[in-house]
Amino acid sequence: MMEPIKCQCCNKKPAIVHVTEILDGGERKEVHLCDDCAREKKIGLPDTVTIPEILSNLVEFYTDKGTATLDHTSCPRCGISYQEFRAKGRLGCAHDYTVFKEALTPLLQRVHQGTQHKGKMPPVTGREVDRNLQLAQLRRQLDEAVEREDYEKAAELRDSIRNLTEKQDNES
Amino acid sequence: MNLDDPTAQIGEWLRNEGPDSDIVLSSRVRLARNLEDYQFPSRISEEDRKEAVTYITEALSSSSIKPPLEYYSLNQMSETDREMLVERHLTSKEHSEASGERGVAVSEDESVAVMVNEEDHLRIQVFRSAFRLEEAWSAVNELDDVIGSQVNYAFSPEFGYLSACPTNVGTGLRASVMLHMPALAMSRQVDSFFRSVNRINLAVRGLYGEGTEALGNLFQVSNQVSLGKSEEEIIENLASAIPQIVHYERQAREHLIDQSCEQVEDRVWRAFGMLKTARTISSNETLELLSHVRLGINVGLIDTVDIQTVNQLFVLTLPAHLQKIRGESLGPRERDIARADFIRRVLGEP
Repeated sequence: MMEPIKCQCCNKKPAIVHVTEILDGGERKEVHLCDDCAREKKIGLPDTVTIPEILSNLVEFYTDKGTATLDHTSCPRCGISYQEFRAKGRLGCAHDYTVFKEALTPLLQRVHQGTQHKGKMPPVTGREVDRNLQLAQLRRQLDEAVEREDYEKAAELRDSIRNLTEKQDNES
Repeated sequence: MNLDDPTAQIGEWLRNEGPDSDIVLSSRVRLARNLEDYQFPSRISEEDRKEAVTYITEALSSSSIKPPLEYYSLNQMSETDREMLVERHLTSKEHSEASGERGVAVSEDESVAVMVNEEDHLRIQVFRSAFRLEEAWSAVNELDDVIGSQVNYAFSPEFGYLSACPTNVGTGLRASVMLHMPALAMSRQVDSFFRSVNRINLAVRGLYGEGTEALGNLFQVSNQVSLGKSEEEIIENLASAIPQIVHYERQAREHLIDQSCEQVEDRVWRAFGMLKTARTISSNETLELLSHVRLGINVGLIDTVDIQTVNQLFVLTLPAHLQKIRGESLGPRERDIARADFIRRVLGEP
């Protein structure tokens, strides 16, 4: 009798879930898993699979080739590791698109129609954006000052906020 | 929006005004946007999360935002109120049930709802009743321009608007159309409908989005691709499929009435009769019966109640709405009784 195929994930139990994906150009990609690993990866159990799970499976599926260099990479800005992204299918910050670009490009190619954005662009941002950001930061500092009962600092911050909002009112 | 009296006004998507409203309930376009200077909501610290909300709500309160929006902080709301916003399609279930500083900014007529700190920092949504997809797109596009001139969006010339989930990157656009297709369901063609829609790169879902059943024979059809095509192309691709789907449902209705007129009439009248007389009724049964009555009105069998009332009942009989209407929290059994009472009252029965 033929030796049963071993699970590609744990390499121990016999594989009973077999998935074949036909890639563009007819190339076949096969995955063989045992029941435990399949359940863990939510493959072959359509009743319980949710969209984020399908996505994270997709991410795992299409991001394995040539990305060994990313295995130990984390984003310096948000701290998310490549492994964590692969497991959850969600990114941590805008910078991840640069850090994990090598792995993301084939995934995006697969999920979308191309990898080059063709739509609109944000309007040229100016003073108003900076002012809004500054205001948000000042309000946070104000909350923190009030919390530690630093009323002198709080008064200062309140003045700065007033100046900034008055300036906006005058301009508009 | 009046949180204390949900019957005071009908949501934009239930208004039944516009092209093909016998089959298309509503059109929705949403844009996913993130801030350049903050981590995405799933990883952000609580302090930064609050700061991001201040930054965004400052922008959303700008006088150039039209129509003006009112911000509701979900973390300061009762569970029933939050659930009611989900039932009104103003926010998502995930957003409602998450934790931390988050909210939704809603226009008076409920045609605009901006979710703040959902999966992305901003989910800008515009609704229109009936089949008015282009109109919804042009409104959300303008709104996005205004918000984008007030905050710094995370954007890359290559990948477009950067989102927490790679499936939304690029345009960040998800357009969807809600369809009422009882004849399709009666003729047992749902599976083949799903397959043919998937074949043209569109997704089909139930009434309340991902992973939900098509209760009340209500289906949402939406685009799957958000990168590599322009917004106009995505809208056009979806919009061009809708007339065919509408035509299919109309034909199925004609065919049903031709072939089995008595059965259709029987179903419609029984459903109407049950709604007018039931003493206790579940939410799912209500949706099912309302679907038959809606069909009955559309094919000219029933003329004593209008479509708008039926549309409204789809939402007002859901658990959170019912509890707000009664002004008390009710267990499932009490809700079923209250629901039957409410429906009889609306339909003018003792």
